[in-house]
Amino acid sequence: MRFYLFVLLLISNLALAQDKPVLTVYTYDSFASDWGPGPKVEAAFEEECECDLNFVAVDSSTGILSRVQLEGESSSADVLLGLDNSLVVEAQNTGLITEHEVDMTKLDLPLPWNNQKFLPFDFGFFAFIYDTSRITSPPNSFEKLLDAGDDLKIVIQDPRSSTTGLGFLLWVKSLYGEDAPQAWSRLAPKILTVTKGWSEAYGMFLEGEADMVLSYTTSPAYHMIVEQESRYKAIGFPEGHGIQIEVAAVLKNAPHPELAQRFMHFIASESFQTLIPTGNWMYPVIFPKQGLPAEFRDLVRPIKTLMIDPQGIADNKADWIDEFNQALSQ
Amino acid sequence: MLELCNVAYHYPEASVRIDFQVEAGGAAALMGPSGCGKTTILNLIAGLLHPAQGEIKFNHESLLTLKPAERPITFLFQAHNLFPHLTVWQNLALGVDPGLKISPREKMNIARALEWISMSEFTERFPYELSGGQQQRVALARCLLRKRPLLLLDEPFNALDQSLRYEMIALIGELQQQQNLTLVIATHQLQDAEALNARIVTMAL
Amino acid sequence: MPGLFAAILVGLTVVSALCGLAIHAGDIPLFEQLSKPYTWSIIRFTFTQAALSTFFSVALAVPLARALYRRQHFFGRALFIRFTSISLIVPTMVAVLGIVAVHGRNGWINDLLTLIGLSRQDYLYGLNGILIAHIFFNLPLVTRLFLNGLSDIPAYQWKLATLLGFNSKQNFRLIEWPALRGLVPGAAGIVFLLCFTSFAIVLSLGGGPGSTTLEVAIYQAIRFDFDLSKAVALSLIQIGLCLVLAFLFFSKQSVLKLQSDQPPGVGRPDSGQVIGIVHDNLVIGVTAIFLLSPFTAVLINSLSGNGWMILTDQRFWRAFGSSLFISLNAGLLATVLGLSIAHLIARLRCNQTTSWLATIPELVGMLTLLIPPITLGTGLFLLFRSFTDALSLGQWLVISINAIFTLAFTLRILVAPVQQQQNRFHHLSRSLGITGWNQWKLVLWPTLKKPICYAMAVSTTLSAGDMGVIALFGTDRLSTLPLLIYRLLGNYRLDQAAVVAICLCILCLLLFWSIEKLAHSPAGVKPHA
Repeated sequence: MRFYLFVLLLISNLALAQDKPVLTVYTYDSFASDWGPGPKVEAAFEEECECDLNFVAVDSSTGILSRVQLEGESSSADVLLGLDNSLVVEAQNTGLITEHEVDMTKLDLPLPWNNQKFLPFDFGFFAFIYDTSRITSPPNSFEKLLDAGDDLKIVIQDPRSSTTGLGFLLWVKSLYGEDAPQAWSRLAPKILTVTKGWSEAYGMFLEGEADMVLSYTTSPAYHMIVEQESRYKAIGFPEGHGIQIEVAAVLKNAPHPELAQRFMHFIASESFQTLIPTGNWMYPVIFPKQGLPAEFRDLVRPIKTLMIDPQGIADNKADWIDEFNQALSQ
Repeated sequence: MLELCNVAYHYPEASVRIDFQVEAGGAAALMGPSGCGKTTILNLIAGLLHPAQGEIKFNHESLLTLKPAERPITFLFQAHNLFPHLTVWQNLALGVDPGLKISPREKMNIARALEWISMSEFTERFPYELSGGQQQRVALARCLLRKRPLLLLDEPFNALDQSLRYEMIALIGELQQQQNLTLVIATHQLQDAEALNARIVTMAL
Repeated sequence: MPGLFAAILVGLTVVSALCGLAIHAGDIPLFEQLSKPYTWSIIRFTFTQAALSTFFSVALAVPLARALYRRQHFFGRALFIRFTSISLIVPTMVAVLGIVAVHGRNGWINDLLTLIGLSRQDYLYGLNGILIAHIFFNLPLVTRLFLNGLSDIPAYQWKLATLLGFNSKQNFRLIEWPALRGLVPGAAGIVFLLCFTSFAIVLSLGGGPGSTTLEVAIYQAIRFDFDLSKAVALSLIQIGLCLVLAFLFFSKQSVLKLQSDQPPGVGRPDSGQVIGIVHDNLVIGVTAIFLLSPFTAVLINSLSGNGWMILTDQRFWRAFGSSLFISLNAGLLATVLGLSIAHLIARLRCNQTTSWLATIPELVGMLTLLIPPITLGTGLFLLFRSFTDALSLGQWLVISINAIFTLAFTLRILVAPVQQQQNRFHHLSRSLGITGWNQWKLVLWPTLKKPICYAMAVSTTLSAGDMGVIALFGTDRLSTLPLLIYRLLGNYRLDQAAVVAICLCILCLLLFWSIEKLAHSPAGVKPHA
């Protein structure tokens, strides 16, 4: 019996043994997962660099940041992939990020981007998704959403743990400013639950637990391309939509700085960017030569794009989140 | 009159059989060595055990169909006659009504019973604050309040010293006189039986 | 003296972790934190959920314990009672998953509601879900304590009750309630503290702004905002409140027993009444369904659907390996620490002049229950992060913290037998000059192997099912089975989560069974040939 336990202990040790990673990239779990763009990115880059690319998946984008903060200068990560415009100043203030060497003038972004330390790799617009087979006339403006009956149930994400949730908070803030608390209390009765991450919220919506879910205008493309299903639609709000720009950054103490810079160049290359639309279901930052998939033409394209200056986000985020928590814990 | 006719009770390894009568107002003492079944007989009369065969009658009516609490008996054990977490007064009141709903008249009776055992000032005490003799006197006072014509005593003086023993016997004798009680006592002290004028029923192993 | 060393090690670890965190945090905005209305709503919610969980667990345990006591013979009684004594080592995430499968919007209860034409109800997420899960874990525990209390009622009281003709209500009022009354503060205290510091349940079923407890808020402060000073401030609030509560509940220490002798067949006057039989069977039946349905749901969900795909995923096998590695090491560590400290306590108690000192190592063992593991883990991580890479550091931190937090259990199991063993053999071994390894081989192991193996089985199984600090350090590289369940639940892959849950249960059972079995192997003393 003791021998048997000893063998178990040995096996468990072996299960943990792994190859020495060469380039370590911290990212969020859906990027690295089998159904995300991760495996293809890994294969493409490993072919090009003849190295080993090791994705470490943390449960969320905010998790990536707090993870490197926890590890500090002794972190084994080279590159962070998956922070976004709402987190850049906070990330920069940690003093752990160094500049990348990619020329950003070639990027096609809907808004100018001038932060030298963070390289945008894709972008998308927040939107509510609904199922046309269940609701025929969803609220078609933000005001109508706030005024909708309480039997309309929506799922949103927690702004503390999810960048989608944070993006929504900023969206509301840029529309309502000082009046945001009132907007939250008008919305509160319609919120079925606040999930920790996007996957859980979207899963609940697909299972029919909620009528609408906070996601991206590009989400219906997934259903059209992968499932040939066109009943899921995003709702365009005339007030405008919040934008999310996802970024990558190199760590100052990266164990492999050269490899890290090469990966940054790879991110801004055609081979990485073509994997984005149908891998991460976002818009690429470099418009592909052969154009976007046809289904993307049917997507809602916001009339107005809303983005709060990153410095303003960093200065006020904590207060705004408290405001949100306070309104929702009533 | 209490009659036990051909009563038998079987344990896995032994059997107890008995046949005896006690006239109303009389007393019987079950005597014999430990383990001969004295307590078993009392438990059978009280209804805590059921005989395998035979009949138990009191005043010519069978007791066997009655539940223990419905039988015309009251039982005094060697020890553990009182609930340790209830006061003296509550323990006495249980003899009147298990729901502790006590009318003013019954309150008077309880007070009188306490006077009878000279323990009026002990009403709010708990049993563990009393000596062994005091505890047995409280238990006896409850027998008085129960007003049942048949009193079963299971070695009630064993834990008491000589003088307390006489005191208790005197109280029991008084009670028997007052209420015309029929007594059945299990004991192995001959002088107890004699002091209570009990007819001796000898039991063997 | 290994005991002294172990006690100092544990004490030092806790203190240095707190200091490490405080140094990194800089200033600690305790008063600023306390002036925020959101902090107060967290504290309020923490109290509310703990109070309600305690109330329902205790209030429901009374009729259940009574029914189990009154029905000494029914099919499955022994199994049911066995379950009540192991409910604490059921992996939290398995239960959470099962509760979601039964009570979720697409769960069994809602399926039943739609069958009878009612609309689906959302009652799981937030306070209700937390209450359901807390009652699921604590009702069996309290029932067990109460059942032991009832079993200790001396048979003469039932004899008196029979002779005096008590009815069911009077039995309860005059005999059973007085027997239980003394147990209520202790039982309620334990349940309240367990719920007050509950983490995985609140994180999975609550955690939104309206249903966050202090423990989860600390996790969020570190994981979401990396606001260490806020985390320290919240930890201080939590530790302070826990100390006050522990003092309130346990200053009048009532003896809590988890094991008790069953009484000989008690003839109580009301066991034959029809109303009583119907009532008892109803109570037992309903709670059995409440307690067993989550497991059944997990089992059924794992068998149907294609969740088995997860077994081909390397994430599963990594998590499986880590779970095994972490739990075995943590169990071993907790047992070694527990045994050493128990030895120290026994030695101190032996001597009249030093017996008061024994409370210090006892407190060290118990104090760990009051400090949030997340806080401890973060503090240690910050102290040691420059020495090694995050992955292996994280792994050893999870092991140490699991060991420290199961120490309270191993101590509870080991102190009494070690004390007994000391009293019997200490002078004999000294006079024969048996020391060191020989003392272990010839005296300690043969006489103590049963409690030692039991302690190790409990601590290993607890660690295998734990979902605490791993939530902080977990990545796809370092993951355990409970964390994988949590992640799959977060991705809404309920079928895969169910399969992982079944595997975790099997792992826990195997670990418990095989470690307990170690005690039955030959003692290791071979006669010379």
